[in-house]
Amino acid sequence: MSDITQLIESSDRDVGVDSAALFRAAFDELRKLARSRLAASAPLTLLDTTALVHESWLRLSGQQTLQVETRRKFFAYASQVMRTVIVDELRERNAERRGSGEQALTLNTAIGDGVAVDNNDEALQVHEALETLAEVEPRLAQVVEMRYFGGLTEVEIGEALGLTERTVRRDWEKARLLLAAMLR
Amino acid sequence: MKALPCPPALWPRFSALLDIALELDAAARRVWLDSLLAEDAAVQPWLVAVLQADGLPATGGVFERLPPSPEAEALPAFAAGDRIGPWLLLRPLGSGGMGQVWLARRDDGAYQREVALKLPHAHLISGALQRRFARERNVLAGLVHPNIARFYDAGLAEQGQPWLALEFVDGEPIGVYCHAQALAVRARIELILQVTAAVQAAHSRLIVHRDLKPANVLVTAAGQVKLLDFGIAKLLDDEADDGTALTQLAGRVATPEYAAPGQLDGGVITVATDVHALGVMLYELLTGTRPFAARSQLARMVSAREDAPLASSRVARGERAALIGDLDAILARALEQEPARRYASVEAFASDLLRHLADLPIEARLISRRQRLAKFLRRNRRAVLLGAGFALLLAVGIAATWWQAVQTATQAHRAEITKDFLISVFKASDPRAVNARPLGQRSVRELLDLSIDRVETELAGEPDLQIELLGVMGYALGLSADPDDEARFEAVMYRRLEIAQQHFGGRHAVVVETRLVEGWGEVYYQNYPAALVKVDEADRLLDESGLNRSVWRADWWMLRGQALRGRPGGGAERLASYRQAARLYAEVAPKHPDRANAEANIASTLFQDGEYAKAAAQARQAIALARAQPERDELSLGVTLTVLGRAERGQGHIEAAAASFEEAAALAMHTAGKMPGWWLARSRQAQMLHQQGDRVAAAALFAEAEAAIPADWHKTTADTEVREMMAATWLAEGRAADALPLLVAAEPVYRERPPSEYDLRRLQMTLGQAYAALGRQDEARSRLEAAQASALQLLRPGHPDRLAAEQHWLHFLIDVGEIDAAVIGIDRALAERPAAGESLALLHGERARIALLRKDTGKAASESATALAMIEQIGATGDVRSVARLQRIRADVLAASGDLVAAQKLEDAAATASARFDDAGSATVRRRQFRPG
Repeated sequence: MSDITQLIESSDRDVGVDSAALFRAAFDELRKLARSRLAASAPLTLLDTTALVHESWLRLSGQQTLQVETRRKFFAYASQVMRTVIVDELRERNAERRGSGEQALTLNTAIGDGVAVDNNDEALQVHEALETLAEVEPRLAQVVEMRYFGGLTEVEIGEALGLTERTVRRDWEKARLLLAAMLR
Repeated sequence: MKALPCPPALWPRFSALLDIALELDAAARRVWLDSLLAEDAAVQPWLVAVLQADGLPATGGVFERLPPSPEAEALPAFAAGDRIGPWLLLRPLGSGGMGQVWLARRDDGAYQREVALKLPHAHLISGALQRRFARERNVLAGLVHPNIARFYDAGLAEQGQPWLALEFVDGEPIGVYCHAQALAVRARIELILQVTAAVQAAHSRLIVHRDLKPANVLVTAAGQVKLLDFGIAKLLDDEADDGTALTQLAGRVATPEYAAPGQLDGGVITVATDVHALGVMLYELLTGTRPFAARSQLARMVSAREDAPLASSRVARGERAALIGDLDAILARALEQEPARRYASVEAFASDLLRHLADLPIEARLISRRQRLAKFLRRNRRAVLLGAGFALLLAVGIAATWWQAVQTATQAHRAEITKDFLISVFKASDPRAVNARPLGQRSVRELLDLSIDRVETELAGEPDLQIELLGVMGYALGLSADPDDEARFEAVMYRRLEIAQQHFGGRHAVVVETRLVEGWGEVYYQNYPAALVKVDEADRLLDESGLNRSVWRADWWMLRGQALRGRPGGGAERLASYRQAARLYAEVAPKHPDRANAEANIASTLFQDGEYAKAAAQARQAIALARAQPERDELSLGVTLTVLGRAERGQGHIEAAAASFEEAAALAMHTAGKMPGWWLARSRQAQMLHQQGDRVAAAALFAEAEAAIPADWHKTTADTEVREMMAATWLAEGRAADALPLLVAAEPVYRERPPSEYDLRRLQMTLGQAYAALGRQDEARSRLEAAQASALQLLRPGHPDRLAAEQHWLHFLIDVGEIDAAVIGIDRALAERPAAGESLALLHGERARIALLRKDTGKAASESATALAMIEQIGATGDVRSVARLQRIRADVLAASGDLVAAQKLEDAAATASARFDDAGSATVRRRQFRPG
């Protein structure tokens, strides 16, 4: 959980008080929602993460006027939060259930298009591979994070990172290839 | 961690080729892959492996021939014995993102020297790049400096392989070296200064290193720093080449942990880049950690800015004192986010380090106060959002109650209650409870940081309450022994001042109080003249604000007394000040903890005036008052007990004194830990034990006290006081040569920053004796004479120190044969009818010596008998060694009168005592023979 604390601290510093408070509120909500869904033992789907991020965005933006800049940052931030929550949750589960042989929850998302890595470790493996990839291809890693963990569309990712939709798609394709090789 | 699908060294090329592959359909891809073979053989297998995952069948013959394998990472493109241009490869030295480095020798015998041959990946440098490469090599060749690994030559071998021949340095990376040698802070800084010299030399040739990191800085066995890798330097004046592949390559090669903000995103590379890297390196050498955690690109996007934590906060407690202050400020400045706020040049950075080493004021310090305030505000804006921290408050158990009370506080007395409550947490303690950690070491930060910003935000409309509560927190921080809290204390106090000035103009108690707090700060650092300036300012403000009958005026009297500590002959004024303070506290705030402190200061002043009985009584009164207070200030109580112990010691009440010192040390330990209060209490105890003759126990206590002093202690002169006391005991037991260096070192310290007006005189007295014992008469004379003259001028007749100073001076005069002057002096001293005591007994001893020299055996007999009787009668007030000394004078007198048996008996007693009390090498241990056998 230390990741999460750092995450908040670092984001708060940058975005100014109002939006930082907002992010903090969003963080709690994202985490709560994500955890409750995960706890239900049902597979967490891409739809769910997307819904979570969008839902919390709508709720928050309804409260105050927010700038486009904030929205961009929010999506990147929300994806990162989701990633942290999911990874923490899975690690915890794995630790609890190690050796019990029980079928753990499944995270079924878009990365499975061509490469079926449909087991409970997938999200963790993607997470680890992304950590490595981020060292040499930080942008690709971020695109994957936003798509895979944040459930965002290519348009939204492009907006958040200031890239064209086409670039995002190419990045995604390239990252998909690299990750598939790394997860093999 | 998952492995990358291609070795990092090959990644740039790999990634670029993959982009191209992705644009091609399956069939085109296969043709393209085959066509790559010649130029990109190294990358190709990795490419093929990755593309397989895209469903591309690996059927081409080339795939079978070059299967991806982990061994491919090493890619032994070179082998020992290979010839590259004129060079013969001997053995590999390392490899990195840019290529490989080999130890090589000139193959054509042009010269014998072995070099480090850098072999950049050929494919990274081609075409137009080679021209640039050739040009940079000319620049580098001109860079000759003893701290830079020399660049000899560069060229292209037949097969297009570029090479750079550099000086081969046999050394360790700077970090490894520091660790292995266990270098002290100073030595580490001196190494960094060598690095700065090298970087400065490069900058003067318009070359920026831009990849400065410990791995690039080697230290040879001789301790010489050698900077490697100016290979990626960028020519400052070469804008036209921005964006060429070599520049891009350089950008990529720069190590993220050491890169300046902006550097990785393609920001402009300037000298500020190297200043930043030097800052990071120094920070790492001093603390063992890097100032900024390595962060992902994503984290950087979400949070662009980060201040480096104070270096001192990253090291073990024992080392903090060395870093706090100057070094914190220097590092903060070098690590500024904004290049413009960093040092303007490496030279300026180096200059501040040199000034720090020479104990001169540094440039960075001037602005640090304002920055600290800014940092304080930033930090707290963040803390507002850290609701999680509230749990900490609850955990401590009291703060929640406190906060609840604050929130409902609409009346002043309510705030008063909460304030008292909070203060009690840090200050008082239950003697029955066993504290695992000394109170002063408990982190008040956790508790307070969270509350401070709530005061800012939630009480925004109530400046009065804000001021009140910030004051409480500042006070609590002021009690903490943690150096980090010092800066916080300052920040809180300044913030409070801001609020006061904003809402009330200058006429608010807080403005006065700030002046007072600043004055106390100067007193703590023993800057008495500066403190007196604050005293005058506060005086005026108190008048103007109509606060003359308030605790602030009482505090002012206290401050005035302290600020006068260094003023020669200021005893009466100090005493009057403390009495005013005590009176005013009794009147306006009888339960104020400083009331007892005012009484204690009266005791201390009486003690300094040699009024031991009065001082002891007064100290007991202060202690009783302090103990009766609802809120005990144990830190001050400890100091008061030390005063009591010294007064009791002066009266000869040894057991009582021992108990007082013991309790003082325990309280000091309990409140602030092993800080100056504790060192001094321990040392006083040691001093007394030594005078009782227990040199082993004394040495152990001194060792304990001295071990607690940080190597670079500079805040007060308490360290000097401890060492002076220790040296004085060495001198007394006959170790003048050991004592001398410590005493000599103390003299300039007391001259510049005397803890009080009494210290320099006492030191000169001791130092003079040490010089005399070593036969350095001229130096002895100047010290002893100065001490005696100042004692006569400034100490009242009857003051024990006055008589002691005279006695030492007269003893010296007799030793050097100036008998007439000594006689006059002794008569003058005795005419004041001094009270019985060690010095008076010794003075009679001096008289006996004179009589003996003048063959006046009758007088010698009576004086020596008087002296001996007196010293035996006063018992424990003096040093046991004085008895032996007077016994020996008496023995001389008896021998001169022919009574050799009695003389020998006394000599035997004296020698036996000396053997117990003095050093084995001391002359006193030798037994003189008055009669044969």
